[in-house]
Amino acid sequence: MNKTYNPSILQKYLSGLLEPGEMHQIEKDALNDPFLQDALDGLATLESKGQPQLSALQKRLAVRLQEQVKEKNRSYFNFQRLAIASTAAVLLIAVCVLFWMRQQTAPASGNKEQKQIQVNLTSAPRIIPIEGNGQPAIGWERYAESLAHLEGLKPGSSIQLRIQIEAGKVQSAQITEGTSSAEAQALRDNILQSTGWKGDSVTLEFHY
Amino acid sequence: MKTHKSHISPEAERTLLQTYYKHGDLDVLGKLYAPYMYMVLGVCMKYLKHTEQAQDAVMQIFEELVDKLRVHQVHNFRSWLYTYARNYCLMVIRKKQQFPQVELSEDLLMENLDDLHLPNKEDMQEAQLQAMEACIDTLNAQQKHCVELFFLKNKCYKEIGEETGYTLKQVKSYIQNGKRNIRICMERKNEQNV
Repeated sequence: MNKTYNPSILQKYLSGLLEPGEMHQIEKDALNDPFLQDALDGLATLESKGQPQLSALQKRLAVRLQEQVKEKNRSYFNFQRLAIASTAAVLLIAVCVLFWMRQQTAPASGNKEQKQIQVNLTSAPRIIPIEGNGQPAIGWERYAESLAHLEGLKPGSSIQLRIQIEAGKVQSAQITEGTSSAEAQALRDNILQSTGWKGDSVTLEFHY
Repeated sequence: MKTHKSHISPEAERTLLQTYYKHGDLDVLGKLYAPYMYMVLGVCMKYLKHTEQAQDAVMQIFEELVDKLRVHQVHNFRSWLYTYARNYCLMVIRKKQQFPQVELSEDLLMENLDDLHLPNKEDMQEAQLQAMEACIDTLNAQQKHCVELFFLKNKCYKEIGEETGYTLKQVKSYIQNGKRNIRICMERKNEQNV
């Protein structure tokens, strides 16, 4: 194993301050150790062989190592914290999107429920067009609402009506299925008097 | 001269290497590198021949170790570092598109022949000792004189210079070349014996 000499010993050697025996030992080692030989050859050509050269290098190394510590801290902020922050941001966005999606679907179902409640309260029927092109100009929903003031049929019952339309007016309305109670007749009369229809005929089912 | 207090033991060095290999902690690499900085500076000085460039190279080599030592599992850091530092300097020279100013002196040629171990006298058999003495006789006068003073009388270059009147550079060159010639001569003799 080749020896690694203490820099101060090498400096003393280069300045000729060692004992002849010690110098001989270094020279003998250098003959078998190209690293030591090269180092001595090079160091001998340094203008100042003393401490300044070495301490300047040691200082530079220390500064370099210090930089590393700073960099480490900085990178701690940069990477670790950034990673945590971005993960948190992604999670936040994901949660927001989920909420938003729920909000998007929830109001729709909420409205339906509300309508259902309204139907129950005002006894507006649910109207299902079964056959034909006839339809009220104001749309089925609003038309159903317009019927809410009538005293409706018993909850759970339904009635089917065939309506003939001519020039936006209902020409005839026939109960084709279901009860023909007074309430059903009232509904039929109401339809017969109504205007603002489109199409020729339609078969409707009213559910209460 | 056997104790080098500021240096870490080979075991500790291996542990540091492993630690750095696993965790990449720069402080650990700093601990590994610091003891060699002065020698690396010498190597860079030898090849780059410019103090500031050599100092920059020492730091640049450190920067390169940061990644290299996480990829390569190094067993002997010292010799690996030497090879790396030398190659780095040669690459710098090549990049500058200038021929290495290192004169192709005998000592450079010599260094390329790695591991020039001259066996200790104690370890040598009588026959080998005789062979070596015969080989020393084949050297030219200056080499022979310097080799004898260095290896047999254990004198340092400075003393040999004072005694012979050669410059330190000459002394070094005579000893390095003399040693190489002896090794070649010994190898030839060994081959003949086999």
